[in-house]
This record gives sequence, structure tokens and C-alpha cells, in this order.
Amino acid sequence: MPDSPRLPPVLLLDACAVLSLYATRRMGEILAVSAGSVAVTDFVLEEALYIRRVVEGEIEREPVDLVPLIASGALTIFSADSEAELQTFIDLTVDLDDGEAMTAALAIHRGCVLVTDDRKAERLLAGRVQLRATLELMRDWARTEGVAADEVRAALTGVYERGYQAPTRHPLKSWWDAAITAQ
Amino acid sequence: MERHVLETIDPHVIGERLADARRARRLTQQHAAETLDVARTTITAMETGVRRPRASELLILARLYGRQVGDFVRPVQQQPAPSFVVQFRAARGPTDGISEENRDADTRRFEELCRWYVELEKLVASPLSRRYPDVYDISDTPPERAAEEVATSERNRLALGDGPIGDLWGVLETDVGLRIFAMPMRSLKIAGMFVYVEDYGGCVAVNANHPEEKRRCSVAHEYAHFLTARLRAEITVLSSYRRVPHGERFADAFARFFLMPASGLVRRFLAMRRAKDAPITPADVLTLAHLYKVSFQAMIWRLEELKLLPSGTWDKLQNLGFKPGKARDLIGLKAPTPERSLLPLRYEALAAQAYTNGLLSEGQLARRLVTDRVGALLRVRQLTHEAQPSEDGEWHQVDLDLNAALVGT
Repeated sequence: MPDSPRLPPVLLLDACAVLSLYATRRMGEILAVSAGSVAVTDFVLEEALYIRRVVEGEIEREPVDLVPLIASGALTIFSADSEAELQTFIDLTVDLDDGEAMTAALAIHRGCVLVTDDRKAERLLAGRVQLRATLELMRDWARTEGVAADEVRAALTGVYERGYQAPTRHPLKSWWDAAITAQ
Repeated sequence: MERHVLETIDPHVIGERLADARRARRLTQQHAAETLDVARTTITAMETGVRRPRASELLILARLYGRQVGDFVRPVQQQPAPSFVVQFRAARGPTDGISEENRDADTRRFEELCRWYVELEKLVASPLSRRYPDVYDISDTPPERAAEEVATSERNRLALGDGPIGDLWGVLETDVGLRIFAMPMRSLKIAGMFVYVEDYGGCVAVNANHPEEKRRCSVAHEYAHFLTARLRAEITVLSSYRRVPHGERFADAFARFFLMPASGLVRRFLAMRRAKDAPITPADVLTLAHLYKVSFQAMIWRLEELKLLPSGTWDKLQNLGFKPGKARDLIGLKAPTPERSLLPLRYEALAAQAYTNGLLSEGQLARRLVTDRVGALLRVRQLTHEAQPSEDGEWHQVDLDLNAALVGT
């Protein structure tokens, strides 16, 4: 009997990845382009996440609302369900916040791709788990969907306004610079 | 095979931390036991180090106690002994209706900020330099006289001259090596706290809910405790002492003399009187208070003390219904803006540097900057970028490398 085709690994988003993707205002479309399914941990869901919006000239907090994405099935929720996962989680809490540690622990045990822009998480987890940056997801979306330059620029501007700094040495830094300043 | 943290950590350490966190939440062992669905004796065994918690148990307890799991498993050396709570409980003074629960919550927050400050310094290898004077012995001197002597000595040591101190917090942080936070305390009656721990040095918290002039007085007041009774934690409560203790009289007087030294103030007052050839008015005193960044009331009392105004001037103005705030608005003086937000600038810069170098995660950064993740990153951007004009006349954001060596390598 032939082997069944292997499913692409799940993309597991940590909180900082969620914030960057949400700030594009195109998160659903960006996730739809990814090969595998996409998940967040229950810890990320419980953390109060906010981006900023301008209302009548004033900057105010806007809560991140993932419910529509979960309801549509674009995003699934992972929870720890074994003592081994919890042991790894607790090991990681020495160096990371609880939410970040849980995302990393589940990515390690379940063979997920961890989507993060966090330099500390990248440093600690390199070699233990496959890592991707939100920049890659955004670039894939822009290319695959042939998104107009002004729409890409608007999406990336949202990410910039959420405080994101494209890492100087990232291979996609030049793409970011070009896309966010495109006329 | 690699061993897990819960298998290697000293069970007594984690037990003590669990017990402390439970008590801070004012929960009984029975409550914790019911949440975990275990016998109460199991909680006792965990808290006394007889039994290590399982991973799932630790997670549930951390949530019950409102703590990060990492708080229970962090390395031992990052915690002062005795804890701030223990030291402040032993501190003398009136409580004046401040609940133990509120006081303990504020002291825990203060301790956490100080611990994070020291951790940040270790992360980026940038310790705070201490220039502490020897402890002044004031035991045989009347408090007011001792305060004047110590204030003069400290002003000389810190080369402050006899004028107003512009950046009081900066002087005490940079030139002395104190850690100073402005914390919104749960009780308005708490003006400030001081504690000294060997690993942290002198730490001060003042109530961010008080006006800026009051905060400055509180900083100077707590500094007085640091100078004379370093090893005794103090909470300063706005209270109606029947008899003000020697140490508090000293600290109050020190704050006045340190912020408003006699020689400079007399000189300015007399110059003002000569220049206008007319009686000194409340507007003149408001101007002086503004210059020294103290309250109108504090300035009046100081001028009365220096016999530059008749004694009872403040009471007279009170009886006439004089409102300093309104008067200040009328003559166009602005209320002093806070010198600091919650956190010292140096603390924020260390956090930004640690984050930029991948030594703090985004979540840890947000916690340390006491804001949400986006707020934290925007603050990092403020601290690490500068707007500069370019040749085309446009303003551009320029990266500031916080790690760049400016002198020597």
C-alpha cells in the first residue's frame, strides 16, 4: 500500500507573531496562503493582546480579536495534554514568559513550525524546532496572491506601527524595506 | 538524559515560594488543595519541601496565585533575603488605616521592580555604580540641626551648590546609585518606601498618585533614611503622629533643607524683595516654589522657618481661602511635570538593550516595562531611534546603537 502523503507541519504562532499578523489587517488572507494548518496555544488566546488604532486623532488600544478566525477554522487552539509537554513548558519558563514557553513546548513535542519574530525565542529554540518569521508569511501572501504594492505597503505599515522592527540581518529585510516604501 | 527543572530545583525553595504566593493571595491551604483536588496535607508537603509539585500542579497553582510559572523556578540568587514584605512588616510607624493586604501588594510590586532592575543590569553587564557616603550618626544631635548639617554635607559631596536641584531623581540615581521608582500605590496615604538590600543597594519608591512636588519631597525624605538608618526598611505614611519620632523629624527637615537650602533661598528672596521695592506677595512665593519645584505650602513654611515671612503666614492664607493652584494658573505658572514616569530611564534603556540583543523576550520586555507588548516595543523604538534631518530636508528615523562602544574597547 502506498504511503499516504505527509501533511505539512502545523504553523504554531506565538503572541508576537499573532500581533504582527493581526496588525496587517489581512491576517485571514495571510494564513490562508500557508501550506499547513495554523494554531495558537490557549495561553496566547488568554493573554490580553492589543494593537493601536487612531480614533479621532487619539491613539487608543484595540483588542486583538481572534474569534472570527477560530470560528472559520483558519486558526485552531492547542493545549498541553501530557505531563511531558508540561515538563518542557516548565523548563522553558526559566527563560521565557508562560505564553511563550507553552507555545515553544508544544511546537517541540508536536513537531510544529514555530512562527515567531522574537529574537530570544529564536536564539533559545534554534535547533530544537523549525522556526519561521512573520516576514516570510507576509512575503508569501504578497507573492502568491499578487497583492498590489499599495495594499502590501498598508499591511506592512500596520506591522511597523505595532512596533515591529525588521531584523537587520534577515534575508527578507530588503523585501520589507522595498515593500514598505513602495509608491 | 537531560533532567527537568522540577527534578533539580531545591524543593524547599519552590515550597517557600508557593507558600509565599498563596499567602499573598490570602488563600488557605485548604483552598489550594481543593483547586488541585488533593488533600490539604499534600499542599503542606509541597510548601515544606517534602514533596515536589508535579508540572501540572505547578501550572494550576501559578494560575490560582496569579503568578508566572517562571516565578517559582527561577534561579535562587535572584531573590533578596529577607524579602521586602518581611522587612516592611518589621518597619515601625503608624499604619493609619492602610490594610496589610494593600501594603504587602505594594511592597511586592516594589521588590519585583528592583529585582528586574538588577537582573537587567546583569543581563547587559552594566551594574549601577554606587557612591554611597558612610552612614551619618545623628543619635546625639537634635533632628533639625542634624538635618541641616547632613543636607549641607550631601549638597557639598554631590557638588550641588545652594540652588534648586533640577533633576533630583537623576542626581540620586546617577551620582549616588539609588534605584527610584514612582509607583501608583494602592493607598494614597503611603508617600514613599525605602529599603536597602546588599544585592540591590538603596531602593526608593514614591507614590505616583501624589503631585510632583510631593513626590520630590518624598524622594528627599527617603534619601534621609538611606543616609542615617540604611539597614532599616521604612514606609512613610501621611499620618497624624501624636509625637513625631526623631527619625521622621530628621527626614522631614532634611527634605526641606536639601531641596531649599538656606543660603541660596535667602539670597534669592532678598534679591526679589530689593528688586521690586514692594511687599512680597503670594505670587512671589509661588514663583519661588516653582523655581525650587516644591509646593507653595512647603515654600511658605520654609520661609517662615528662615524668618523671612512672619510665622503663621500659611494659616492666615488658609483662613482667607487662598488657593495656590488657582493662583498659579492666574500668573501663568504651569504645575511641574513629573520628572519620571513609573520607571527610571536607565532601567528602560537597559530593558531596551536586553530586548534588542535577544536577552529578553517580547513578553518579558512588556512585563518589565509594565505595559502591553505593543506599548513596550514602541517604547524601545523611542529609546533606540532618533529623528534626524537629512540633506533632502526630510526627517528620518536613525537607529541608535545602544551597544556601541564610545570610548576604548
